[in-house]
Amino acid sequence: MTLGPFDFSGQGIWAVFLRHRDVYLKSIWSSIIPSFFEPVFYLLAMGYGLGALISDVEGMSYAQFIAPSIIAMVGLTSPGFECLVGTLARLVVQRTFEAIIATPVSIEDVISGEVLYGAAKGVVHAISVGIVVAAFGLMPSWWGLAILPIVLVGGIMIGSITIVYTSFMPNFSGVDYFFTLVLTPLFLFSDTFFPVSALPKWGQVIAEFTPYFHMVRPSRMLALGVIDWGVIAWDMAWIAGYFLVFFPLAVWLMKRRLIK
Amino acid sequence: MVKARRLCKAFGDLTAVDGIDFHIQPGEIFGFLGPNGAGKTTIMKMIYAMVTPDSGTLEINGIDVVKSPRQVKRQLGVVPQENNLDPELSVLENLTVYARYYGISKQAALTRANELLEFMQLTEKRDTIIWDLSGGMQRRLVLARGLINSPEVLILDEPTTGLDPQARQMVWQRVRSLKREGITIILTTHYMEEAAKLCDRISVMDHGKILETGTPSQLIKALPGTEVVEAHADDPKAILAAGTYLGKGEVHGDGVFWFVDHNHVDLDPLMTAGALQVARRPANLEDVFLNLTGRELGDE
Repeated sequence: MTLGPFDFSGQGIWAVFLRHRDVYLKSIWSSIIPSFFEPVFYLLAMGYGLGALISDVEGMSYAQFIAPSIIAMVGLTSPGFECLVGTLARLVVQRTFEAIIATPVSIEDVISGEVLYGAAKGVVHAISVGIVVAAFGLMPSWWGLAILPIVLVGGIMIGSITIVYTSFMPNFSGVDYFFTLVLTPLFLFSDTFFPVSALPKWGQVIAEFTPYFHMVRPSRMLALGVIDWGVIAWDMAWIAGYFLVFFPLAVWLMKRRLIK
Repeated sequence: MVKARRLCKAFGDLTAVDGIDFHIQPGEIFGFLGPNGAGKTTIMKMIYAMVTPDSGTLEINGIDVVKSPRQVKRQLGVVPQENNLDPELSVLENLTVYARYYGISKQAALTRANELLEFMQLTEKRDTIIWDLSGGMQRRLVLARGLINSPEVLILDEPTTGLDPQARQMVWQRVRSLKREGITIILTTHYMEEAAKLCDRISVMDHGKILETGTPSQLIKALPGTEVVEAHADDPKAILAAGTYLGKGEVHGDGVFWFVDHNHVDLDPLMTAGALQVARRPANLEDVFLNLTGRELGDE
C-alpha cells in the first residue's frame, strides 16, 4: 500500500475552510466564551492560587511562568477538539464529507480544510486568551504576538495527529480516551505548569519527543522576549517533522475510509 | 452520455456489482429498479467517484471517472439517498456554501440559488434553519442543491424514499420538468410506480446484475401475458391447483399469480376453491421483476 497519489486543490481546501467558518460564525459565542474562560480559570487558580505557595520559577513569578503556556494551550485543545469531535460529527452524523466529495472537491481537500480550520480556531481563541494574559501584565514583550503563528503551525500539526486517531473511530465512544490519554498528558507534562527540567532525565527525553512541548517552549521565549532563535528553529523543525509524518497519514486513512 | 462496461465491485465477500454494462443517452431519464441490496447505490457512487470499481470502465461524456474524478464531478449533480444538508445553516446558505465547492462566484451563486428555491417552491423558507424543515422540504432542498452547478447529468439515489404521497408527487413533477430542460437523469428506485411514471428506460436489477433493460412498455410486453390474475388465500397451494385452467401459476406469500391475455377468463372456480380476494389487472413492472426473479420487489 502506498500513500497517494494525492489530489489537492487550493480552491477546494479554501471552500471547505469557508464552509466551516460560516458554520462557526453561527455560534461564535458558544465557542469563544468557554474557550476563553477555561484558560482564565487556569491562570487564576494555578497562576495566582497555587502560585502564591510557590517561590519564583526560573527567575519569574509562577503566574508569569504559566501565562505563555496557557495561550499555547488553546493551540492544543481547539484543534484537538475540532479534529476529533467536529470531524467525527461531520463524518458520521451529518455526513457532510459525503456531500462535499460529490462535488469537484476531493477528500484530500476536505481533510486539509479540517486541519486548517482546527488550527485557525486555535488562533482565534489564542487571541482572546492573549488579550487577558496581557491585561494581567503577563506579556512583557511584543514578541508575544509571534505566539499566534506558532499556534497556527502547531495547530496544523495537532489537527493532523488528531485526524489519524479520528479516522479509526466508528463513533464517539473513543473520544474520551483521546482526551484523557493523549491531550491531557501532553498538556500537563510539556513545560506547561512546571519546567521540564524538574522531570527525571528520561522524562525530559520523552518531553523532547512530544509534539506539544515544541509549541510551549517557543511561546514562552516569545512572551518573555528572551529568545534563542536556534531553539525556536529546532522546535519548528520538530513541528514540520510531525506534520510531514501525520498529515499524509491522516489524508490517506480518511481517503481509505470514505472512498471504497 | 454515461457508458459503463463490465463494471464490477465487491466489498469483502459481497459482490455488489457483478459485470454490468449500460449506456445512458443524453436527455433521457434512466432508472435502475431493484430491491434494496441489488447494487443500485453502488453504481450511483461509482458515477460520482465515491466507490472505485474493481474492474471495468465508466465514462461520462467520454471522460473516465477513475482517472479524472474532478472533471467528471464538475458536470454532475448528485442527490444522495440521505439528506446530508448542513443542519446549522439556513436554506439559502446551504445552496451558496455548496456553490463554492464548484468555484461559482458569490453573485452567480446567489442568483442561481434564488432561482432554484423558486423552482422547488422553497422561497418562503429561504432563511429557515434546516432543523426546522419537514422531510419533504429537506428532500426538495437536496434536489435544488444538486442543481446548483447547472449539471448535465443529475443523479437521484432513491429520490422519494420516505416521502408522503403529496411530497412524492411534487418531486416527480420537478424531475419531469428538468427532463424537459434537457438534463440527463439517472435514478434508482425500488418503487415500481416511480420507475413507470418517470423513466424512459429501466434496467431491472437483482444481486448486482442487470436482468433486463428497456422502456417500461417493452418490459411489460415481454411478459408471458398482458394481464395478471392475482388471488390471495390462506391456502394458496389449493388455489394454485384449482387454477390450472389459467396456465402455470406462481405462489408468492399468500398470493397466486397467473399471466393471461385479454380473452375472457372465468374467475369463479378460484373463489369456490377458497380464495379470499381475486383480481384481474394489467401487468406492471412489479410483475416484470416477479417474472425475472421469482420474488417480489419488496422482498429483501
